[in-house]
Amino acid sequence: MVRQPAHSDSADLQVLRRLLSLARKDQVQAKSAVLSPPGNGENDLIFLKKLLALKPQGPPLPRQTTLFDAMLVRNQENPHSDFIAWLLDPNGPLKEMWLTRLLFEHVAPDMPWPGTPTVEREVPCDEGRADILISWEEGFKIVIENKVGSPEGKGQIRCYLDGFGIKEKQNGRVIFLTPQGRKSKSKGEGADDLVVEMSYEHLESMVLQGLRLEESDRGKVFAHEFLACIRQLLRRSRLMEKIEIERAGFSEASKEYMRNVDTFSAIKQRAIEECGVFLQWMGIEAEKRLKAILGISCVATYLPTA
Amino acid sequence: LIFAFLPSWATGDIQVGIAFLSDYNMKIATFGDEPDEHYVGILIRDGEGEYVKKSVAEPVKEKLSQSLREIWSHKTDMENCDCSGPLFRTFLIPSDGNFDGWAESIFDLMEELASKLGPALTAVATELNQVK
Repeated sequence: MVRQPAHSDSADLQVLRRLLSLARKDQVQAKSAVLSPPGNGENDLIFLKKLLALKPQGPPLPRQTTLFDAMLVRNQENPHSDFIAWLLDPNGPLKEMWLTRLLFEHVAPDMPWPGTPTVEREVPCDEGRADILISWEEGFKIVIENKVGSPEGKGQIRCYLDGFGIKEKQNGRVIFLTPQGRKSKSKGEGADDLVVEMSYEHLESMVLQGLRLEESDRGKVFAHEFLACIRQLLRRSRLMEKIEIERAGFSEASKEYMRNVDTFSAIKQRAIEECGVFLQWMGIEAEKRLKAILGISCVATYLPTA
Repeated sequence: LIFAFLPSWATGDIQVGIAFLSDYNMKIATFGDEPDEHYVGILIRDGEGEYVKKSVAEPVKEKLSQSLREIWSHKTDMENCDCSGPLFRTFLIPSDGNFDGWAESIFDLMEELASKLGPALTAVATELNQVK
């Protein structure tokens, strides 16, 4: 029931400032122990109402609508990579690997489907680890580098091309997958045919296309959940872009607040004092009412909390 | 903390009382800084209104819970209580700023506790004192 205060340097500093402020107030109030009656703060009230009217109207707080929201991993790369790898895996929930087939058709449209692949996560190569590796016995490989909110490593895609032996189109492809479909900066010269830059929106459309082929309830459920998860991620990604633009300035409420910090502090100080007086009155009133019920032997104590 | 009690509600060094606890730092904050830390209930403290150790308070709380459960009709008040008391209700800070109404609802519950549970608190304390 009793919450432990969180401690930090800035919190301590705030406490110190408040105590100093209280000490100064005490000196003034020693002459007059009773607060002036309510009703003297009209200017403060106008100021506060003005400030409240300027309150930024942001989007509502996000609700936990997807599996990834509930697991608090909505924007984390690894859970997304795990989910994608599982959907691509022959042992995953999708019937006849339709997502893997669609991906293959997209990156290698001129090649025949080579059959059942192996899907692995976090596969090491010379100087790194590929997020997802889809490989076939015949030697064709699709390496997926999934980037969610993290920068591309120096020479990363080139490293995968070299490390997995993807020198020509028949060897395989590297898919650079990002929410926005960013261009790879690390693929190096002459690799345009070997690297496919793909957005999550494209992946979303692929899943929507394949869902028509899915017959099992299990496959439908997981494909729909995957769509919900990546749509949340994309929404967040667009929102972040908007925030980046808006960060250049201050809201009107922030400006008003910063212009009037002293006033704001004074209003709070008065509210602190009024709360104390109000509690003392509550103690006296409670004692009076409880004595009326329990009798004169009722004892009431009032202990200030700190 | 407002802590009201009858001497007959004492057992050993423990004092049971009707309490209003506003759990915020009144030197640096207001009610609104801790909007959900205001409670009315039956509290177990020492004679000075200070905390008592869990090992001492817990058996008294259990005994009170058993007895009061049969009398108190607002069952949700008796859920999720820690060792500091068998019965609590939170009073959120009023969103419309009506603190007079807020205080009135707090007094109403304190009066209801006094009138409905007063005799039971005396009976429990007497029983515990006899066991000792």
